[in-house]
Amino acid sequence: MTKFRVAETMKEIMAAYYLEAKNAAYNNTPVAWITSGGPVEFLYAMGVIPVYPENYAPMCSITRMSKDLMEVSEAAGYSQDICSYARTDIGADMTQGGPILGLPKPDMLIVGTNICHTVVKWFDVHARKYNVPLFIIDMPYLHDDMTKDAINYVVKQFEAFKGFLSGVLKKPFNEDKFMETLFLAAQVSDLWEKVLAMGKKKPSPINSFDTFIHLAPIVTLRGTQKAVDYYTRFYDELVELSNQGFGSVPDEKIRLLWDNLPIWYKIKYLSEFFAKHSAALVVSTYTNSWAAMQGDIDTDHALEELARAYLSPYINRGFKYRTDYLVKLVEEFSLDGLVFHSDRSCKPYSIGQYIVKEEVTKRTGRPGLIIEADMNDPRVFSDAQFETRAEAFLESFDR
Amino acid sequence: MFEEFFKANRESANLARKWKKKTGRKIIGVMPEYFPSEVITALGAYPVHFRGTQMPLSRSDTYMQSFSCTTTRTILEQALNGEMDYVDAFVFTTMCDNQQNLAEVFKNLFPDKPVIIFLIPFISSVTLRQEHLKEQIDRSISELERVTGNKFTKDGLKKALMLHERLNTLINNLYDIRRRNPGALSAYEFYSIVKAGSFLPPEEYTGMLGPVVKTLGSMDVKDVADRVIISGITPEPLELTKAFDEIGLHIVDDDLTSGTRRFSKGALKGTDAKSLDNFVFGGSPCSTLFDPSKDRRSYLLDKARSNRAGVIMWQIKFCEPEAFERPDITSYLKENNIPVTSFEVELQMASFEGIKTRLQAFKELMEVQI
Repeated sequence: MTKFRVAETMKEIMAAYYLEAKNAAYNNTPVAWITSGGPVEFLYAMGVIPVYPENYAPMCSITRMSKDLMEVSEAAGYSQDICSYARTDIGADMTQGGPILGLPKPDMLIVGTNICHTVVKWFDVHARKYNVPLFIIDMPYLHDDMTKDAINYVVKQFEAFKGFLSGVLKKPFNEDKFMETLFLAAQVSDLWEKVLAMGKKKPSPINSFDTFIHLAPIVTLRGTQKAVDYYTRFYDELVELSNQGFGSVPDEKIRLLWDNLPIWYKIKYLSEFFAKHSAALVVSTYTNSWAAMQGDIDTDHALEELARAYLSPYINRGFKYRTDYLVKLVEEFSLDGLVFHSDRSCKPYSIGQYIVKEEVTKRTGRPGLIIEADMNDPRVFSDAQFETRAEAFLESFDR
Repeated sequence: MFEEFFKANRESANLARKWKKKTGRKIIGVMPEYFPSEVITALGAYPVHFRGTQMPLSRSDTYMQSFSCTTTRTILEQALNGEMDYVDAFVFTTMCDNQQNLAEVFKNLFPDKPVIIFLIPFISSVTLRQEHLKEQIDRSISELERVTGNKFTKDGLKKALMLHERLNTLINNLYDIRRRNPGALSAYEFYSIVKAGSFLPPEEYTGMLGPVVKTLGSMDVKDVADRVIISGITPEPLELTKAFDEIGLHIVDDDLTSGTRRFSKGALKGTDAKSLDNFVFGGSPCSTLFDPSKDRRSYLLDKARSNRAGVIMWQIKFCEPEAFERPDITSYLKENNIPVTSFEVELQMASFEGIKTRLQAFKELMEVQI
């Protein structure tokens, strides 16, 4: 992984974000726990600090704390078969553990179903514990094409969400601030897309392990000027590096795609493993999902555009879309192959990967590798098993 | 008296093929759960329900990971083995992520069979939930019209609703008989009767149920001890119910999605928004639905108290909605002095020795506690 100049800035803005969140109660600022695909723009418009258990869980994993936290929730009866983010988060909440000693108490819980239905159950556990309002925005899975009905359905819920926030916070919904936030969010998503598109360069100045780390601001600070400034600088740095001929993997020979969530506790190891084999993971369906959460913000149809954006993430789409999308990425990013993380914790992302992989290989001739693992549970990962399979896969490119 | 029902479960595919040939009706495969099969009957077709079954897994492993629940994996295995060849189209709901993705697997592997999707709303607003359900059913009906080649008519719907209401009433009668007289039939017999309805044309099944309900209802009431309620999605593998009978645990009631939760609210009353809402959300609390107005913990507590029973959570491995609710329900019931335990099954399991030991221990615990 490359140590980019902006990395220090990211540390600073993320530290400031978590500090502000931790002090929210002292500052009389409301806090919402929200899912990673939730419409954060509404919260920023109303001065609510959004906090992401799905950001905190990988933080616990990267800092090697997730296993202990999961063991706490498992001892409380949560099965090892449920999402490891949820188990980590529930364990962190029970112990006030993890790198920032627990998340600040929520005043409300906000769920978007565009990533899974697990989040409904997970946040419901918190709703029972904290006895705070839980608002769910149903963003239905698109088995086929995006439909007007689906967009209208989400738009109506966005309208209801404004009413919900207004009621809980006892003040009118701030439409002006909302539009300002939408513009900023669209800018951030646009910048993120440009950052990710740098993976098309040969050699690529950035790889998926870098983008996994630099994802934090777009998840947590989407809709803020801070995030716009950050990704502007990041993009400029990447352009500068690329112009100098810099490649994130020295001697880049194999260009790959990463599908599904990262294996957070193995990022460094995987990054070094692939680099050792001159393989660069130049694009990932996971990080691309936040680039999809943008629309051309037209003030007359802002909510329609926003609904379209939130229905768009890869995980919320049927297999035909997924296959067509991967075939497109093979072309655009000049890929030699695809790596699929079969993530025990994330059923909606993983179930179907075998089919999608075969179809993409049939259409493009590019091979795929399946890695059996889990995004946050290190007990599931076997170094030896991974290396045997991945080495065989990478060696096939020499022949 | 029960052999016909056992046979229907043993030979479900042959039976469905036979009925298809005899009646000339199209068959719609209905996946778990919450699609109103009344509209299929109204369209002159015949619904066959799939909820997974006990069978070894092999071919499905090529397409689905081992961490997919075995309800979905055994359904796929059945399809790959040709046991759904008679189905003309499938209806899937989005009750969980596994089912949602299984629909995509079917679309891909069986492209000549239309897949109709009924999206279950997970939403805070009840008004929007009802509107959404109405849109979903209207779209599903028009897709089913294409598949069946028949028009959806008021008259057809009326007849179908009456038939399904009769069927529901008989099943509810069966449940009432068991509550009143748990010794009237074994757990295996009871759930075999309920399951057989998945594969038979509703009018045929209703005809079979009538005499059985009448006979069972006239039996002498004998009080039994060691009473339990089972809670979960579906009592599969069905063979496992025999363990309850062997051990002497009497299931007096359930809150299964394929059981009480499905039948107690009655059949569909119409295709208007409120009737649909009642059909999906009107039953007892379900882990696969979002309905904050209901609390499954207190529901089970009341049910356990009124039946003087312990609670057994019948969990299917990798069923996330159930796994998320288990800790809270367990601790709540324990705090209220209700004996509670749970076990986890995979549908392809051939041996239940571990579960039997657990059930035996639970029986002994109940004898002390109740």
